[in-house]
Amino acid sequence: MTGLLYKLIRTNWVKILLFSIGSMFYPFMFALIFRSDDMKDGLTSGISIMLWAFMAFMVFLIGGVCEDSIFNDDERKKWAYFVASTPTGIKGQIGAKYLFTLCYSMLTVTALILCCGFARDGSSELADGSVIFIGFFYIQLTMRAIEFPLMARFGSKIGKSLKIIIIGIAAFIFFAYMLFGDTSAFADMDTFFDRLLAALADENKVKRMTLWFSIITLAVIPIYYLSYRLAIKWYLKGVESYAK
Amino acid sequence: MPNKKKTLLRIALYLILAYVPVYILCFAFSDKEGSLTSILAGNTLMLYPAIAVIITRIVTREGFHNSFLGFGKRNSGKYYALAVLYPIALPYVSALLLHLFVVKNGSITDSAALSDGTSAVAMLLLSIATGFATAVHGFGEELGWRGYLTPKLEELMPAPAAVIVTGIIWALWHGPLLAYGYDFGRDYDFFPYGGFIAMIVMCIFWSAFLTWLTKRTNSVYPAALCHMLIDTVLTSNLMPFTYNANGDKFELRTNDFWGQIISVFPMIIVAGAVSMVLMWRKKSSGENKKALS
Repeated sequence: MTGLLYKLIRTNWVKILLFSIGSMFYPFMFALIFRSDDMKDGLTSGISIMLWAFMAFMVFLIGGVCEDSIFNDDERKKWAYFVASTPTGIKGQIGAKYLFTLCYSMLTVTALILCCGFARDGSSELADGSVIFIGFFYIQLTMRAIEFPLMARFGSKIGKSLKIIIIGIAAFIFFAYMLFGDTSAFADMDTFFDRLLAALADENKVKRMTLWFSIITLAVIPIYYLSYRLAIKWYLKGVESYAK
Repeated sequence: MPNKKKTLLRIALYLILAYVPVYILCFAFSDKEGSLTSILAGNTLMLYPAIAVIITRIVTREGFHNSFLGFGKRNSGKYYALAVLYPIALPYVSALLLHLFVVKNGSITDSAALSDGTSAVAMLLLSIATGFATAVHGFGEELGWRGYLTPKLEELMPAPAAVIVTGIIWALWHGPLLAYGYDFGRDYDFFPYGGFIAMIVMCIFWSAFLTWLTKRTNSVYPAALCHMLIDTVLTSNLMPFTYNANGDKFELRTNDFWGQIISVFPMIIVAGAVSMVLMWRKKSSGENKKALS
């Protein structure tokens, strides 16, 4: 597997480098702006949290494109059957891509934490974005855990389309619920934030929410592993759908 | 002999590159209480050993073979599992020892951790999730200490001695922080020398355990994961055991320094000693087989 990972990095290193620099450009520029004297007065902790979340979203979105493009890099029948015949086999082929995604996402978190530290050294008002970055790291892994088995089974084009359809269905269910479900919580938007803050002041509710949040977050790791096992199982079926 | 000289030079270059930036940053940005005033400097500290290894290997034209960067031998899964389970068990065993031998008033069931199980479980899960996501920092140190320094020292001395020397060098690398009270605080006799001795003991036994993980898997990643999880899980999960349900700190029979040593050190020492025995036994049995053949 290590050899295949080496091959993956070696053949894609320009792409990886460009994506890494490109994705970190926004946070670094933001960090520079955050440190400037003009910005220091206007920034509050709440606003900076929103900005960190936006930046993390951008960075992980661009990183996701890189991870996707590397996953479908070897979509050729000859290569797929060759690698399946080697001792490392399909496990190594798929495992290298899953490990690359994991390591790339971990490096992204580290780079964002360093960027945040750089900004916070210049302005004490800024909030620590680490929790947000770690949250996005797990969202990123979840998205890849959904997408990769589909890409392995149906090829990259259909796999990505299926992922969009799944997200679309989830969004449709959400909107349908918002239209026809119990939306009494949002009935009076004037008092919505007051009620939200009151709920957050309820210690027991916050504890339960934190517990569920931590369970969901940590559940991503076994889900990612199961996704890897599923992708291995489906790989040879997916090879038949390759154009070349 | 020329090989030994070459190895010594490589070790010296690595140590200069690993020590100098950390000492400069720690003294320049010290808040004089064991922490740093610069967040960026604090966040980068753990990465310098890895940067030092990369520069050393490039400058000495050593290349990156035998750098433990692969994901390990087949059947390494159990060692990865151990790398996760050990840091999870550590705060709870330590808490048990703390309440058995150190806490004067109240029992472990009165502690904030056990009286508020929901928060304790959430804290444990979140600290594991944080450790996993930020494992690159652990990799930063482990690539340097276990992935480079220990194997290089093994070329000059027996393996157990290499592990001990790595532990001492690793502990002293934390010197500027320890000198101001990092890890053990300032409220103990012989400050800060007592802290230095405690850190050296801790680092020797952790070095043994992490080296054992690295050797068994032929990979630095289990040690990196274990290191980062120790950093994120230990303090955050042990702390609630030092307070009661009302948020008052338990009275201790000793000061915090000795409390920490009595509660946390036994599991570190046991794990390190067992790892040393396992490493030694494996090596001796390998040498016996060689002699017989």
